[in-house]
Amino acid sequence: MALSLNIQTPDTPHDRMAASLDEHGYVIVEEAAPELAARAREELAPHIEAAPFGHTDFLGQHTKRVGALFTVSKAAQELVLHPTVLALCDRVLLPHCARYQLNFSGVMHLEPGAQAQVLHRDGGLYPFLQPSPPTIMPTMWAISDFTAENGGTQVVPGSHLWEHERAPYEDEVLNAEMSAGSVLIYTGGLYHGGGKNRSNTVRTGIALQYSLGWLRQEENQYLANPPEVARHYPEKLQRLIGYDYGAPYLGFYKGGDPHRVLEDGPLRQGHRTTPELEEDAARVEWLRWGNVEPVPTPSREGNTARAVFNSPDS
Amino acid sequence: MAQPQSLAADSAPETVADVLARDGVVIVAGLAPGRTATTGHEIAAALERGTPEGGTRRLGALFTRSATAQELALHPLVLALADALLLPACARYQLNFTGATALDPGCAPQRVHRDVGLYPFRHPCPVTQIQAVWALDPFDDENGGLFVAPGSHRWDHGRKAGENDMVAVVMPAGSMVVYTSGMLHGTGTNRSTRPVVSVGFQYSLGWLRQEENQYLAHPPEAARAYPEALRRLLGYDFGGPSLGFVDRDDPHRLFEEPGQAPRRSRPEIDAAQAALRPMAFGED
Repeated sequence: MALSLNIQTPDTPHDRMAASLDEHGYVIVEEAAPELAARAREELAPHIEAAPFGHTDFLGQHTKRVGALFTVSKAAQELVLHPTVLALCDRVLLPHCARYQLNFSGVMHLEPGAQAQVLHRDGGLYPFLQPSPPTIMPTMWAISDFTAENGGTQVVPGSHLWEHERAPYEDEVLNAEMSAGSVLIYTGGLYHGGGKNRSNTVRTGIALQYSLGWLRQEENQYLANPPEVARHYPEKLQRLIGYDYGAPYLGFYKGGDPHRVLEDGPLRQGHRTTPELEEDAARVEWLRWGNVEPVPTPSREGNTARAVFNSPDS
Repeated sequence: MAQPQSLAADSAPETVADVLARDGVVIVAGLAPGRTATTGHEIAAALERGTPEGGTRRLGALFTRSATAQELALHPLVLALADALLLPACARYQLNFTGATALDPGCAPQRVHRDVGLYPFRHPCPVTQIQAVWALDPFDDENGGLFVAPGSHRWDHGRKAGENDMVAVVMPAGSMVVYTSGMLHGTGTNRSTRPVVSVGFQYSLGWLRQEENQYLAHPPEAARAYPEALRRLLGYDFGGPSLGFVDRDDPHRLFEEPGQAPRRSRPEIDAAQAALRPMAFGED
């Protein structure tokens, strides 16, 4: 069976994009932001030049990585807020969290000779059996052309629905071929990995990953973008990288919204939750984790103590 | 309703851990009276300035205010309990929350809740957090230091605690009560004539987001002065292989000599992760 890539145009309705992401585990949005990608490439070039090669097989002996991208590239700040990507985050992640957050930002720059990375699932950061609801929604922006020859990201379509232990066969792997300015969007359950660069050109991508706001971030955004640096970002970016609650009561600073640490003037009085946050949390479905059986509930009468968290109607 | 079991301060950690795993709550009487008293002195002025909400004053970021609180958070018995209860589900656990609470006479009771409610897991589920509360004043039924619903750590998601299910934690100053994330609990109304003060430390699975942002509460310039074990517990460490890195490196490298080869994990973290049994998430 010949496989073909799931490629969509930027004007595809977001619901349809999300449905195809759900079905295939990934979607490529062709030419989503070519000008922005070109600017990012220019801004990042000196940082890529200065970056060391990886020191393990997984990180790649011919692969360079640059992290904490928003400290060095204004274009990366815009890419991470791209409306199409955020529209997909809303559809993929918001069913399972009150707020999603940035998980990771990094350049993946493959020089000629780079070996293929071992196929893996990004969701493997968290000890959940696959398949599970999406925990991470990674994206890879091509800021050079991605081809089968130069190491365009390998993807295994449909593998986000596979059983935990199932491994891909070689003929189930595709290379994400896409022009600079296109973006590959996938879910944390999809098998993927950097390709082998057999060409004599470089392959440069920007990985920006989003995750459920109640999970720990893979790249520590508070240390990568400390308050004195993050203070100069747009508020939307500040909140996305984690200067915001992740859920009611979750992630506070001095008893309130962590965004206050970036604001001018004396620290405002904080609140550990807000009505808006409670509303967003109320539509998140409680999901089963693990196989702990409850004790049988007796039938009884009497007044109940006031309870929150476990009783949405109280 | 059964009172939470109270064990002596010299109990074997395995014994305390067994009771905690079985009952979801355990009291260790008179565990560190000297250190709780000193902590009380160190935080008194800041706690005094705290703005009351419903008659309760709270204080966070405790390690910036009290060196003795650092020792309580690292008490070997608490860490042994965290090892036993949390390491089955994570490669590294972390501090989730630090806080002092002063219940003034007449304060409103806290709503009864489970700490796991921060995360969207149906109850019951594996333990995600354990909370250690140290009594700086004695806890009793009258001053409302803490109420728990024994057995509720095994109840079905929607089952509510009745008033008769809630029992007071009774313990002298210097004691510690520990409960798991599934235990329904809340502070009560203080019907006595003087405040009741406690400090609490919560420990959670290292792959979950922290309730109190420890990187902002204890930024690198403050954490630099802490013992390494505390820095790592605060989150200046991996939460699993590659989880929580900064600048392509171990977050603890912020405090180490420059010039070392960066690392995206460490062998003991990899080994701990490999020993975990992933559990199904999302099933009905």
